Amino acid sequence: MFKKITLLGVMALLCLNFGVLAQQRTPISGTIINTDGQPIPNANISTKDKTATTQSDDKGNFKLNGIAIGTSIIITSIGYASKEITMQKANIVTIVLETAEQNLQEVEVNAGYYRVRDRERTGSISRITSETIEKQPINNPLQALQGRVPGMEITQLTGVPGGGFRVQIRGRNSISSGNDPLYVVDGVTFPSSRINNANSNNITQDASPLSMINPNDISSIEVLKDADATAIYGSRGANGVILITTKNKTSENLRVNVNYSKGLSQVGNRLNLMNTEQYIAMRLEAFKNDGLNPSSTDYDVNGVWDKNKYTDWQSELIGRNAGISNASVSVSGGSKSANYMVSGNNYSEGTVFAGNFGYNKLGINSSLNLGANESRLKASFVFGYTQTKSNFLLTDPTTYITQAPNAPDAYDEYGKLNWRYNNTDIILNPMAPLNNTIDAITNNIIGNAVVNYKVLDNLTFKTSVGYNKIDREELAKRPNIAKYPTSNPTSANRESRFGNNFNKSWIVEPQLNYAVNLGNSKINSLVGMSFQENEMEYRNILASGFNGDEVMNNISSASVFSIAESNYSAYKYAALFARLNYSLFDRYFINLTARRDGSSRFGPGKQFANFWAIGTAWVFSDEKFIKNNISFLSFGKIRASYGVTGNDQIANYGYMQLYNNTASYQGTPTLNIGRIANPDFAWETNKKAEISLELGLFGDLANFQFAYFQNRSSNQLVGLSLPPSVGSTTIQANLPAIVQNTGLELEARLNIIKRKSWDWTTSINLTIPKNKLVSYPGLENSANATNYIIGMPLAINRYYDTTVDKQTGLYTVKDFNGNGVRDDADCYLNKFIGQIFYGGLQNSVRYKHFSLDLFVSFTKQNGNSLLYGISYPPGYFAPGVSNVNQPIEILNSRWTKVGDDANIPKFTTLNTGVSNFNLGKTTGTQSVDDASFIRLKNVSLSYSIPKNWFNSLKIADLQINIQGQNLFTLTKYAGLDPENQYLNRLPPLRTFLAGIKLTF
Amino acid sequence: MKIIRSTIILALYMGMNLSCKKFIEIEAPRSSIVPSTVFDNNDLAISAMLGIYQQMAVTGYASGDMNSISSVCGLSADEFLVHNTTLAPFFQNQLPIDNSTIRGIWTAIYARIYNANTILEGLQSENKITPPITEQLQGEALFTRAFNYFYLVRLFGDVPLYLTTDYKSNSIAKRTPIEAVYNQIVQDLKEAETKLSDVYITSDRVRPNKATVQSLLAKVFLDLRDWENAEKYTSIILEKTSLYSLVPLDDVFLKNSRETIWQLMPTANSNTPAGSLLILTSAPAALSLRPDFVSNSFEANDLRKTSWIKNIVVQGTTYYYPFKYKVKSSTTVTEYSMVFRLAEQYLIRAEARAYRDKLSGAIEDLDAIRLRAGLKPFKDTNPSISKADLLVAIQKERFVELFSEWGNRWFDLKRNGKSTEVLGPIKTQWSPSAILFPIPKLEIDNNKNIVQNDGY
Repeated sequence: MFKKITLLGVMALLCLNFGVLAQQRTPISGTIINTDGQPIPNANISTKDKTATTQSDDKGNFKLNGIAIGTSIIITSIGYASKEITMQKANIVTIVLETAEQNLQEVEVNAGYYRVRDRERTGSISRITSETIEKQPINNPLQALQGRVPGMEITQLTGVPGGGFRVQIRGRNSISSGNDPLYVVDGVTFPSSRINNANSNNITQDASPLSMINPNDISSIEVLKDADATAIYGSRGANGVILITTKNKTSENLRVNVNYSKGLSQVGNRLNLMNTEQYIAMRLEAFKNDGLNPSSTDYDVNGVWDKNKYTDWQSELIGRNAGISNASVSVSGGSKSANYMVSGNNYSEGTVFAGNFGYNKLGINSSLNLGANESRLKASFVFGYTQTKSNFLLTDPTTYITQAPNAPDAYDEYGKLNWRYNNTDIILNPMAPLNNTIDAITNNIIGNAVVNYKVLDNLTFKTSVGYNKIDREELAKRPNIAKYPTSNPTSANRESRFGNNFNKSWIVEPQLNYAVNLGNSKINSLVGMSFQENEMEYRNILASGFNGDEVMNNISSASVFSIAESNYSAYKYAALFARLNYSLFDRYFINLTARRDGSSRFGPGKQFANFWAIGTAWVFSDEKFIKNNISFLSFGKIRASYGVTGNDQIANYGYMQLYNNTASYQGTPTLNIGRIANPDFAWETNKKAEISLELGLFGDLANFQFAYFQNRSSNQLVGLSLPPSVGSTTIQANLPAIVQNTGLELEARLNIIKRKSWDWTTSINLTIPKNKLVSYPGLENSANATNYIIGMPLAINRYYDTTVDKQTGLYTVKDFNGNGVRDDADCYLNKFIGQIFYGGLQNSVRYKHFSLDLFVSFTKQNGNSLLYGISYPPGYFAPGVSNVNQPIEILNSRWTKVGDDANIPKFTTLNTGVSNFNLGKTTGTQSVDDASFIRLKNVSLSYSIPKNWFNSLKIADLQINIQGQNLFTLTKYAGLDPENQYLNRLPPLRTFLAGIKLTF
Repeated sequence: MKIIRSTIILALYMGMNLSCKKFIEIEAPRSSIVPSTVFDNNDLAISAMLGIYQQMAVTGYASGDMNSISSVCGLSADEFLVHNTTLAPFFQNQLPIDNSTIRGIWTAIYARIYNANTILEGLQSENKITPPITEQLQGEALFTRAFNYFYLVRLFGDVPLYLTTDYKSNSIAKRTPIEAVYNQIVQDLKEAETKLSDVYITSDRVRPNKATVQSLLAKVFLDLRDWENAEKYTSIILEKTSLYSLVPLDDVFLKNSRETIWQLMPTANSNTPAGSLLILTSAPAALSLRPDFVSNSFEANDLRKTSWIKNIVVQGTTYYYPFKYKVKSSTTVTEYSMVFRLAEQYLIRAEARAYRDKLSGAIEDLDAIRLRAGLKPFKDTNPSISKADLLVAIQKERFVELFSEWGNRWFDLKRNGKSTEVLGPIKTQWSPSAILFPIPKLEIDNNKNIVQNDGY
């Protein structure tokens, strides 16, 4: 039990007076402080037999009377390791409690509307703390969760900073509604869907709103997964809830933290593309196969372009190092009854692209806490403002890396874009699109105020008011300099799009907390309400007819305008929620949660619905028969939960019959009915069940958690097919289709070495998910008939059985039903696209002042094949087509002569080859490949400079660190990256960062 | 303690149920309008009505484009040759039940009927539309509903007849017999006739007036072989000489020509989809006129053959195309899409009078058309023509006058029972059941009460 507490202030106590009689009774008084020397108020001090108990006051002082010498006294306080001391003599002692980070069961977990000690937790909540987040050089908090939270699948869609992610907790529940989890930042709901940015979607792949949150400002992220944890979020809990809490740790002493780091990002993996020699050979083979000779437009091989020239377009276009710098300062301080924290942060990241692009994030975060611990009235405020400025291009340059390797230089000798070579036009210059830019400024204001009023000792009234607004201004330009000059672009071709949008919401949540201890049992209850309103608006004006490329920033320089998009929607939401928690002997726990929700997304009569859950836990390791018989079992808990949550992630106004503006008639704007409205559709419901076992062995040296869940979502909101004669072919309706997600989640944490100067912890997590469409009445007649199969995962695709014909060297499709034509029935091969299992392995080693963290994530999955991303068949070329170079891999298994058993069809220059190639690589099984990978996701090495080095300076802590992200990937996948699986998108980047952390 | 708690919970709960319902009520989105708002405002209600015309005019069955009734019926009959695979099944009279063009026509016609029913329901319920506007819009909506059912019943035979927007009951409806559909059409039109006035409500002839309704009534009674009523309604129109008269051939299809009874206005700043589709500047991509129609159907010196038909020679092949609309593409708008015109009314009355044995009157009407086309009048050349011969002459005249317009030829053959006789010899895969198009598969898949037409 070496992990048991070290006693500092008690030393004196131990040295004194062993000779006192055991029967002697004496008062004891003292102060309880933490390792920082701060007093710990409200700590419980009691004798072991609980005959005398007291609490420390706000200065940490306490006094217990009439204690017999030799009595054991236990000091406990939430967040700290409990401590047992033996009374030796009447004394004034200082007792130092250590933060209870090691004692996993004592950690308090944020469950949203309440906090719960991990030991008492009845629901499935995963937690990632700032300690883990800070070790990672990332720009979006979601990256910090990748591979670390069992049951949570996170896919980074692009390496462009601020870009999109796909997040799914415990699988895909909904056939056609949203599958996004609910995000709550400091009690304020945060948008999960993209920041509307129709202008720049290609490059950012749905800009992630969470990129507005500075990862280093986060104190913890809790992921709520099962019914017990999510039912209190009612209709929005079906897809899980992610709670983000920003740092609010304050102290009475003035504290200044300074962080600075600098580094770079780069594309970690290069695609093995053909060099000029291989490329020319491929082209000539294609001509040979076709029995043709190069024509006058086959510039690459007919002598117009230099057949010996080689340009590595990959390194030209995406091969740069993107500089990163990150600086932050925080100041905290205050007094017993008021304290504050203010922090500022600046993050900037360049891009790996040719040209001058980048991303800059500037943020201010502050918090203020009023009222001392014992005050009846307390208040806290959190306010954050973040601005990001991004300057990108409209098309991801990764699109052009497969330009012919002997294509002429992009720039001429004067540094201008090159459009002529050897008396021939260059129709496509891959550097020209760098001039099609998108500049965006995104602002985020988030604020939350919480007022706590202790009505009675056991009864607290709390109100939380939050506001969140994200707005974005963007300007996308397509100047004429980016256009092929021979096309004679005129002023009408100069197009700028001016986009403006905002998404704002406010939330008010009054609640009452009532807690009481009744001898051996404890009741904790909560009742509250939630009111929320959300508004979104998006406007995009297309302006053209600019006189020059230079004036395209100025909307008034344009002569033609049109409204490219204009959209507004509002969403209101009201709820009543309650929680009742009962614990007996601190061993048996039952937790009931319920919520009644009303949402404006549903029609009259369908707006309200009830959601509930029951969670139970049993700490069996505290049972006598276990304690006495299984000594190595330090902690054992079984918990189970069941409940109903909902999903309302559908478009606003879905139930309303709406007229939309259509084109004019006689110059008058006309109205048309967009759809038939169904006023009767209601919530998707998701019934979740989970059972879990938690074990701690050898004094928590080894911890295990096993969870099995089964989630069934029904009442699926889908477009129901209608006979078109009724006025529309589909209608939004609830269908009794059932989607089931089951899964096994395993977590283990082993404290392999734990010494004073040595510490080594390994933790591993593994998730094996399974998704299944259990039923779908009327599937065969619905629009989804070819998309889903009952009994299979939703992410199943149907493919033709395509093979390369030995005679012709072309793809042929097996005529499965033998009817002589290629039809839907020939799509008989089902392939699952998605993750089969995934997880992560973390190793943390500390030696004296060094600490080293290594994190490896692994995923077994099927994904889009390399071939799927290739646009044209090998051997194909056309002057305006950029994607003609090919990966070397395709050379190995191509068809070259009659009789070849090949995977890649014969090289061809023909247009007919394009459709034949698509047959295999898009509609055939060739489009799917094993995209499993093991990735060294994070390495962090830090060194804390010993305090005695700078005793004379006022420095409290100084740490230097080196961090790396996505350092190395082990995969058989042949494409650019097995995670985002696209040839024309920037993969997640490899990042190195070196930093310094200083605390005064 | 418990009492306090339960009281608070109760209070919260009551507060919740009273206030939350109110709280979560939302306004309509700014980008759209709810029906109740539409029918609180004259201009918006008018916009909803105009929306129907706009949708009809821009693309699809009523537009004159590739997927319009004019095109597909012209191909199905003996007006057009086909030059693409999408339309080939019409030309071959071999329509698969999942033909996407048929589905498009069916879906779009019913969508317009749905919109018309929405307007009728909106005007019936409590609203703030001023009474004269209500009358006007009810008239237009009833006409529109009748117009759309008229083409449905002629294309498909028995069709589900919906007079409400209740999708639940509509989606399990059976097909209504042809007679009942015609009865409803007549009833709607007679009601519309009382609500609309002789003048056009706006400066163009692009919103139906009373004469438009009467034109359709005349067409309906022609289908129903109710010669008396057909003559009655055409006569009413033909007497409105202050508004309507025949105009020179080249001016017929100009916007708001005096021959126009009803036109649809194409998309702003463009001319007609029919002109754009039919006028050839290179080898045809969709349709061209049948050379046998061009060479055999016209009498010598028929001005229509030179004024309304042109040809283009591409690689030695001559392609003929209708040149009724003269503008293929221009931002100066000179032509609108013709729906009803006066010449047809002359021909309807000629036929009705002939059947009613008023042969001289019939000849007079027929001659009005012939004279304009530069042909000698029957009055002079054949004043004692027999009734049977006169009826044949009228059908022949209809073909050369109304070709490429609204499938008139297809429907004329059908209502006269001549489809097989005329089309059988020139269409290798013709079968008599081809006179009705198939009900789209999607409809039958989603409503088991709908039975497919014979032959499909």
